[in-house]
Amino acid sequence: MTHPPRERLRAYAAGEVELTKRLLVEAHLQLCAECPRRVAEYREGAPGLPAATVSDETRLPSFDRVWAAVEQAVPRDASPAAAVLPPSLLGALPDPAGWRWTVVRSDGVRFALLVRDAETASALYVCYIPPRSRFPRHRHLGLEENVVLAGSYQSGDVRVEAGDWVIGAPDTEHTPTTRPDQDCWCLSRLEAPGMRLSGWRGWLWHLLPH
Amino acid sequence: MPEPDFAWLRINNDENAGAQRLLPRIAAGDREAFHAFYTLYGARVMALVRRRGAAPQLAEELVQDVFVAAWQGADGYRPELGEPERWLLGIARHKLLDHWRRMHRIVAAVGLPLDPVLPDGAAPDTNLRLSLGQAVARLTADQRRVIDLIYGSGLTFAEAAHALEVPAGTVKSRVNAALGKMRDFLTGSPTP
Repeated sequence: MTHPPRERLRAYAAGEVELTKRLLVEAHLQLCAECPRRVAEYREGAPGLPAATVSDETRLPSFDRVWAAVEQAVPRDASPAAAVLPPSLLGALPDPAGWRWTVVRSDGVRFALLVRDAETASALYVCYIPPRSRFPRHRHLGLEENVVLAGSYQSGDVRVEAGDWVIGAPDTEHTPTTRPDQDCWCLSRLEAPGMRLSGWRGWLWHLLPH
Repeated sequence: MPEPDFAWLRINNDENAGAQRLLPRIAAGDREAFHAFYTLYGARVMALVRRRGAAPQLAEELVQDVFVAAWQGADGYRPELGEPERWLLGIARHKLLDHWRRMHRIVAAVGLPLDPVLPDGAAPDTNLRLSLGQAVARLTADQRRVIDLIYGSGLTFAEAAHALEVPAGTVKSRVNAALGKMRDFLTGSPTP
């Protein structure tokens, strides 16, 4: 399995990464046996939660209030896309019923924007490729970081499996393809200015309103 | 209803071992285990949130958000990730980071001067913090939702309109109304 850079894990452990980076790390941590231990090591030396004063105890909301918030926050959608994402990620995202899907091939290859970091314009997408299919050829204009949530895909000579952390450099082009017997769900973080479909799809893409 | 007695968690002076036993039960949907977890760490999360500058009402909301996230994330917890306390601390720090980043964007959108520019993730000064919390509290549920999608999730007006299943014009007018209401409140202008 391939892993995120150590610095990213260190920043995650310190609670210092913005939402799109954080959710990608958490998706990887769910599927990786090694990186959780690294995160624990980084957390080991840092101070824990501070001690509470009487005033903190007094101001604490009642458990019933917190429980009511938990019950309200239960995910409202049971779609396959929502099911493939870990609950901790779903809880940090807008309601799955409102995700905006873009279909890029008639056999069901599609992606949806989940969340965007307004300051860096980095965006997190969930992407689906059915078996025996491919995501149309595209060029990454900014950095791409990708974690496969389920299934696998092939990109050139490289097979990318569940949990793998893949980095695509800006200005690279590829066509991820799936095996005949396996589909692929992945989480992709694209730094601005994102990606552009190659060929006629790219032209069509720019003509259509988004 | 009498409060359950969770003293057994503290008897061994080994909170983390106790919490580690609770988390699988929380992941399985056990309300009592979650209550015990809240009893263990709630006040300490409140201490963290208040030390990072949250005003009382806002601090309560943030503590609540942290524990909702802990409930949702419990099934992703594994002992390899470290002690439950550190795991919870990570959730709390990220919630605070998200909150202050969202607030910075709202302050900028409202058009309030921010000088000097606040460092990423830092809390604004006490008066502004208090006022921001009150200003957001005055919004309607629809206005808060659209503000959250645009300044929290970073969506464009068109994307937020799709998510809410309303026309883009409606999103725009809700955002304008919300920002106007906040601006009036923060600058002391009367709100009709």
